[in-house]
Amino acid sequence: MYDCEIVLIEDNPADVFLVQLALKENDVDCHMTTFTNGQEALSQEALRSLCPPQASDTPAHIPDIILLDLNTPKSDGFEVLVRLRATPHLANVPIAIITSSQATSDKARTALLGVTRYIHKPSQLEEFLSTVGLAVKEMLSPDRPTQRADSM
Amino acid sequence: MFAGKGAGEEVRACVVGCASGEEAYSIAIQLSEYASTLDNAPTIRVFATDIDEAALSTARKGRYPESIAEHVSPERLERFFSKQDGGWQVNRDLREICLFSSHSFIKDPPFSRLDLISCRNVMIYLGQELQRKIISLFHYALRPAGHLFLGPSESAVSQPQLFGTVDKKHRIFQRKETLPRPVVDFPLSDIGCPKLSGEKPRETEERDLPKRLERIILQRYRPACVAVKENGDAVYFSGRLSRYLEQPTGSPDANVVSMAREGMRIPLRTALHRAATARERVVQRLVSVQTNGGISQVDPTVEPIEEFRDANLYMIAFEDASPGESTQQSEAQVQTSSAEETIRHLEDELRSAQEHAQAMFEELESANEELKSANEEYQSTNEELETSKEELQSFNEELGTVNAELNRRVAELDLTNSDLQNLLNSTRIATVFLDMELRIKSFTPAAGGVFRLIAGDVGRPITDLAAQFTGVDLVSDIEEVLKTLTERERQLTGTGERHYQLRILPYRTVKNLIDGVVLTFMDVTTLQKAKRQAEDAKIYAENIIRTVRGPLLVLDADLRVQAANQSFCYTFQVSEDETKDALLYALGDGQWNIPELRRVLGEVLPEKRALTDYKVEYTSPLLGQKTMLLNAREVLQQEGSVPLILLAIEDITERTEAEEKMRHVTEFDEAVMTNMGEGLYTVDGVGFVTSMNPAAEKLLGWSFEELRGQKMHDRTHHHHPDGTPFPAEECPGLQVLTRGRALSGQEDVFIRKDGTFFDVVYSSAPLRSGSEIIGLVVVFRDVTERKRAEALVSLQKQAFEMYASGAPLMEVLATFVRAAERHHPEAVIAVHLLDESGTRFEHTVAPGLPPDYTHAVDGMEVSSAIGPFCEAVLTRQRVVVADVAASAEFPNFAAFVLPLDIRAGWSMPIIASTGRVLGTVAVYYSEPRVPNPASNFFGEIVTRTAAIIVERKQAEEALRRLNEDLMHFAYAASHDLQEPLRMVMTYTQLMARENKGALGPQSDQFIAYAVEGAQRMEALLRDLREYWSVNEQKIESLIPVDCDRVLEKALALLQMPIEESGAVVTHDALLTVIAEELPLTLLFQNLIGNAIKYRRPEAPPHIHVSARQRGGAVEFSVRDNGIGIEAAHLKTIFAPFKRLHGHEYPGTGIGLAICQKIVERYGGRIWVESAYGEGSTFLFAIPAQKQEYSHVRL
Repeated sequence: MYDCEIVLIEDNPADVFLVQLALKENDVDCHMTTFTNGQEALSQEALRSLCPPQASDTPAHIPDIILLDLNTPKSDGFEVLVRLRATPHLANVPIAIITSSQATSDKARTALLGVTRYIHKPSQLEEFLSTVGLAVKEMLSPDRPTQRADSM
Repeated sequence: MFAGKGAGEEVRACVVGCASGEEAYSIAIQLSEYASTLDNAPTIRVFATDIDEAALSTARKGRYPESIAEHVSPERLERFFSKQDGGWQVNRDLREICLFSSHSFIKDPPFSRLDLISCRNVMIYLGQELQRKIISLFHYALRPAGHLFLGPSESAVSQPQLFGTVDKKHRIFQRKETLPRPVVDFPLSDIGCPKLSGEKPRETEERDLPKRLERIILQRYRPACVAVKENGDAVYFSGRLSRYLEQPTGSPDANVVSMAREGMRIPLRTALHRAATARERVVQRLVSVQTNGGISQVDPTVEPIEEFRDANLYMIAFEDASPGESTQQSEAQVQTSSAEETIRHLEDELRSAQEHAQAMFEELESANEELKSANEEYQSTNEELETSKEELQSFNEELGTVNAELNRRVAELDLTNSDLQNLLNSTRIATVFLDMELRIKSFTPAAGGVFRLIAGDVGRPITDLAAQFTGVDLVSDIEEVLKTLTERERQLTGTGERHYQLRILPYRTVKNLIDGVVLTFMDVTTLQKAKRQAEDAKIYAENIIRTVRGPLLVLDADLRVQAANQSFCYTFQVSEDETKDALLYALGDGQWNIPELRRVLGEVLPEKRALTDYKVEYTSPLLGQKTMLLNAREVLQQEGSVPLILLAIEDITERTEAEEKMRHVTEFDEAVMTNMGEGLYTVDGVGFVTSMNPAAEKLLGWSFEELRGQKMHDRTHHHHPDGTPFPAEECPGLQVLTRGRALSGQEDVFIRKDGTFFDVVYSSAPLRSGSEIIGLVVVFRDVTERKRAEALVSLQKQAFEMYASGAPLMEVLATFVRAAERHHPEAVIAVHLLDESGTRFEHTVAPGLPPDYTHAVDGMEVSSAIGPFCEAVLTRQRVVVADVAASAEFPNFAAFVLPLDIRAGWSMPIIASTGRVLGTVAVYYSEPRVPNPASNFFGEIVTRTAAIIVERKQAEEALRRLNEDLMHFAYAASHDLQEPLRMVMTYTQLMARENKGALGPQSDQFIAYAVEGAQRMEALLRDLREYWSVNEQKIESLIPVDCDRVLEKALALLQMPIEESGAVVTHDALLTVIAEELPLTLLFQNLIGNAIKYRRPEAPPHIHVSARQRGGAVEFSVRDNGIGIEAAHLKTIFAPFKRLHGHEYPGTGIGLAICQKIVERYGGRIWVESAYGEGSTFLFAIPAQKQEYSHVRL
């Protein structure tokens, strides 16, 4: 069994690979479910899989972290965010935004919607791997102080 | 008939039953023929009567057919008839003898005093009784011994006592004289006569006792008696008659027969008849009478009363038979008398009744006829009288007329007489009238003086007096005149050296008969004297004339030259001989022959009118053009001398020419004053108006007559346009009066008569008399239109300014339209803009019109049928509708705009410089109106302004949109390129890490280049984003920013490079500008950063920042001692990504572009001054005060 359950909503397979690489290089042992767009993630099946009827017996099925790319096609990232927050058994799951957007306004808006971390995708490979990996580790063990990895 | 009758008396004949008048005329002819044989014939009158009006009217006309010639002898036809229209007309004199009238001898009263009655074949139609009556009437109507002429079967013998027979065969009878005269049964007295024994006598008897007793006795004992007329009418009743008579039922009747009781009527009538015919006593025996008690026997007796024979009365006495006898007799009679007896009785009774009825009928007829005839007579008499009366009146009238005529003649004669008398006296011509024997008939008082005649000399022969005159044989002259009947004149000298002119004329009476001669003596003594005086006057005049220097002529009444002086002869090149006695008009070459001159000279003498300064112009070949002034008047000399005209001629040719020149000058001035467009007026020394030219009157609205005697200032200049009073003493124009220096080009406002103001430019100049200023001349010009035009141009300018300030097009247009409407208050303006396709109206700006208008037009397809604003788009021409209500061109438009109080308007196309029609400007008026130059100008300015604004604004907006598109593109590019670039970079690095060393040393290098390139690109994109972000960020609020603090912040951010380079940054006190803190910080950071970056290697950078106030802005400068910029690059240095250097100076070249963006964001500008190799100074200016973008308001 894995230490944790992570849901990644990201449309770009290159970035999915990079995120997985970042978690691996930072020793995060997890089971990752990936949705390539918001609609898919919000479908009944997806939500059920995230939250089966026997949820109480199998708490492992509730993700520990949700990683959300704001720029997914077919569905606005914000909308997905709102829906996730409105889903009762997911309402308290920490969400980290990973995005390539430069707009500062996006960061403020996501904060209002209860986002735990806001991770700007760095252009440099090494920076990407460390930033994403450390951020996830930090989210999984909130008590352990870590260096702020999100960029401006 | 004519015997014993002379002139003045009448022979009267009557033709009864004249029918169509032949008989009457025949009798008249015969009587007339006979009368013409007598010396003193009486007047003949023939009455012709008939009862047939139609016949009478024929008779009166007196026209008979031609056939009467067979019965009438030619002599008589000729004498008494005239031929007319194929018939014979009775002549007037014959007709006048005959008097026709509608008259009946039976009914009407008869004529009287007739000599002849012709009544032929009339009586045969009448009954016997009537005949008798008529005969007796005829007897009455005729004079004694008058004749009655009856028809062949008629006779007057029935009354032998009245007429005797004259010629039995021709039935001519003569009236007999009977005594006593028979009672004529006049038709009128028909009722009166039988009532002779009325009730009146009874009353008188009653007063007498014996008579009353007698009467009682008679009543008791006398037999019952009735006096009756022949026809049975009771005249008198006596005794008790009730046993025999009773009043029958019905109307009262006095007839005994009808009153008789049953059984007695027939015997009574028979007896009465018998008694009347036989004139004897008749007794009817034993007549049975039905009485009240039964049947009684009566013996009625009828007896003519001889005493009343004329009245034809009969007595009827009723006696009762003795009772016994009567009964016996009666029974016996009843028994014995058989049916025969009864039949006899009845037959008798019938016969008698018949006779009686016949008699009664005849009687009635005759009475009627008699009455009619009497009436007829009266009528005809009346007519005769009327005619006579009228004749008398007309005769009287004629007499009156003649009398008046005579009176008038007499008055005329009197008047003529006295006129003649006065004439003779007044002429003072001695006149003597002589008869054929040359004896004096009469003479005038003047003649008394000549001949010493006295009244007693009338009748003396003239020969006694002729000796008084010498040198003439008066008598033989007179005789000669009488012989030849021609007049003769003689000059002779009388006593006392008096000269006379004698004229001898035959005296002709009114009937042109010669009845003597008339001698007139005219005293010519004074005439002779006058002749001598005339001679003297002539010499006198000639002497005057010769002595005067100017040309002079003396003319007589015929305008003949009596004298001409030498000056005249010299001036007009004529000799004195030529002029003598020549007519003025014939002088020289006839130059004086001027009709008008002739007329006025002709008036000099008769009307005593002097001719003064009469101007004559003429051209003569000899003298050339001359202007002459003529003066003429009558030369007054002694009483009685011949009147002469003195004509003085003055040559004023030269003087006239000079005057003409003067007049031209004055006329020129006047023409200038009258025709100049500027108003001109003059005032006297205290400001009273003394003159005005027409332009001034027109401009001010006052006529000179209205302002004469008023102060001009008080009427046209008394207030300022703002309503404050303008005292005269403050008026600079009037101050010229005191200051004496002319004023020109003064701008002011005058007031029209209606109280409206208008802009003027005026000049005021003093009028001087010598050194004294006696008034002002003021010239002014209405500059309202110019001012308006100026205002319009400034309006246009303001519109452009507002446009330039960046306000939206619709707002600019709306503000401009409102301002234009204020400027041109009578107009309402609408601007219609088309969409890009140019086929549909998109926007309407019409702030002066209701929103309905805008709603209706917006979105409308352009179609010529809709209205002028569409038509203008299609035709690209101005479309004028001078009266919307009257124009049939755009009915829908009219229906739409008339309720909006629009009556006229024109639409002008807004045409862009490219030729595209952008829309239309419509100018509307609430009254019908035709364009004038002012409105044309207004419309043109509005349209042109609108065109420029719209075109530029549209172009600008197109540019702005393009710019926005570009910005969006750049923004998108700078963001969207980032993501793929990150992929390139990340995976290149990943590839390099995973395959480190495996690809060979060259490949590692290649990968390093790729990563480097990606990194550079990433930097470019970052700078680009930063550059756009300056644009992107909205200006939240501009606040005063303390630049000292901003500089401090920037220096803090630059701390590292400053330390690294060892730069020294100094600054003055910086001022406060209106901007935002953060961009301003970036601005300083960039400029100072650049100064450090582009430093000279040999010199540590020294940077100085300063600021100063300049105009409304603060100008900053950042000066360095760096490498400087080549002059060629100074202009391009602020362009984005412009780099002047290679890798020695890192950067993307966006810094200065961002600086420029920031400065422009606050309405400022940035520029650079540099000396290459020595350093550069970057300068920028930012407004110090808040700039109101919308402060530009029109």
